Amino acid sequence: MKKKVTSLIGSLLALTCVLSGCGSSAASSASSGGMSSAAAASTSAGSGKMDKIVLQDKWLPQAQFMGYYVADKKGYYKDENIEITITPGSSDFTAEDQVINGTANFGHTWYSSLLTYQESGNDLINISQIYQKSALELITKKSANINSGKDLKGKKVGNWFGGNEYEIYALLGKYGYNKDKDVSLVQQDFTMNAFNNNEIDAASAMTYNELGLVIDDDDSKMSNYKLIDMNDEGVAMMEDCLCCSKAWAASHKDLVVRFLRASLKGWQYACAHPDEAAQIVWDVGKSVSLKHQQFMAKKVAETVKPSGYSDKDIGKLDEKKLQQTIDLGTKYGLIKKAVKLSDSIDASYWTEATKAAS
Amino acid sequence: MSAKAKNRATSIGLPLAVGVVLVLLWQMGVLNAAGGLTTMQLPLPSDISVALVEKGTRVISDATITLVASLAGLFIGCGIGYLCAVLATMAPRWGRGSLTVLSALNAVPIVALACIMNRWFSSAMGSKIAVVAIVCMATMAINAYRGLNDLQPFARDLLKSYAAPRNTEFLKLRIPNSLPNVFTAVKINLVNGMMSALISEYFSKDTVGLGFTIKTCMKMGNQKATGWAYIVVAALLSIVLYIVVTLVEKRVLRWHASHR
Repeated sequence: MKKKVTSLIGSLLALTCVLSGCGSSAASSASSGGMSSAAAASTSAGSGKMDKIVLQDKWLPQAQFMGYYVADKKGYYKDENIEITITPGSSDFTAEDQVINGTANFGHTWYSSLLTYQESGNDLINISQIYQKSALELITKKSANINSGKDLKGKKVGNWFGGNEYEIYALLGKYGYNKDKDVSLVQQDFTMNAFNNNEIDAASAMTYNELGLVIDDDDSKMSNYKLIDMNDEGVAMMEDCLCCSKAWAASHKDLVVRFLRASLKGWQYACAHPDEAAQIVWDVGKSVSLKHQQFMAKKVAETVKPSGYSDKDIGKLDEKKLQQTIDLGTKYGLIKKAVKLSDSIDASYWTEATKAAS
Repeated sequence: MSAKAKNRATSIGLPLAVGVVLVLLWQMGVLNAAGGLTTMQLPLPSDISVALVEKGTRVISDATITLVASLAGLFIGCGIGYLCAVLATMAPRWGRGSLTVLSALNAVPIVALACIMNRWFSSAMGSKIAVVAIVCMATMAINAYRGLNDLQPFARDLLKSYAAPRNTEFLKLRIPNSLPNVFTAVKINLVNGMMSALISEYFSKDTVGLGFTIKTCMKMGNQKATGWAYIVVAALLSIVLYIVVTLVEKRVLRWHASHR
């Protein structure tokens, strides 16, 4: 009996140790909040020592994040006295998770995903909207004769889920369809095999990634397929943006501005030189072919700097589009109650960063 | 109170007490404070309960799907596994070696298995059942083979002295003798099978089931408590199934030395 109690206490203690180990292993830090731990490594500007920061990408190294890789390669971060580590993402955690637990200072994530973290009270803000329009499309085979969201009734519609599905829900909702009854939703993996094998009628595809997989990165093959564009359908939700902790940003204002300035410069260069940017990304990680990186870089450039935008507009927080994301998100169950736009974004860092650049 | 009853009370009461204390500490935020975790990273039991109630009947339908997949896979896997053990016993010369090969299947990660089965089966349920079946097969085959072959020498001699044919030896001696091992394998496979079903749902084409929902919810900031609620449901299901099998085992194996 006594032995039992002792061993139980022992295992409890061990559990506590493991738990506290989890909490503090993130980054090098002495702070207890977790949130600010990665930041502790950074010093004040001008001290001669480089500020170390970590950027968490949403996914594997690819042209989707080319602006940062270009800025790193071209020394833009160094010019701002910043030493950056760019960490690849995974399907098992989000960039927000990594910023919250202190592994990263900045996260490159979807604004729609960020909203769910803000709703549950996390201290995260959108400091720059990198992608100015939705890059999500539903791709269908021409033979399926699906011309708009209206024709989706009774079809097999694919998505990756985990927060990526809400534009699809908004699209179905727009035509009065019940997502659980009027269509059958299929989970896609990270290939387009299920679409090619006709297991999915309308598959989700990012213009810069899966679309290229279907058409072999060759736009002329598009004639066999049709696209439903979320922007054209009026159900676009904003995607790739930069987030960080609001409190941490407030106490590291200068560092945030410098990081943003260098990043935006990287994005400007990448949008102007997509082939070179693709090569730079490919040198970092070879998760996909160089040809696909080049295809991706061109498509991403069109999303980061759509026609009518100048270099100075890159990364701006367009309140109308962001509000639409909140409104659609609230209506279609992404968030239960609307997040206030002014709490959700902070344009001051971007304004400051672009002011100094001009 | 007899010594046996007293022993029983401590063996059930003590772990239960630890469990209750843990949940209480968790609810009071002690675990969060110890780990430096926010309530989003580790939701409180009350949040998890609320999330569970909010999901309503959806939890039951998701749990049913995962349960059906894991039980169907369990039956098929255990069935094939037992059959392999019988075949190996009947043809001992090549049987033992074949079982070793079969057990190599267990070295294939479930993650890989799930993706392969998705390509083999057009139905999502089919691929989930296949994953569970494959995972369960080897455990049953190895355990059952031992039960079919580790015979008491006196029992064998007795049957021999009766000049009993091989069939009778199989029915009256080998099969009953294998039952304790079969139950051991089933208990291992129950838990393994549930886990395999959950993992294969991560990669499934379906958008239902406990595994799919856990994966989806864990990636959204405002649904982590729901994810935890589903984890609790999955754990409870495994525990309940385990208890049921243990009770059945006690009844069925009442004659066996280990249960007297």
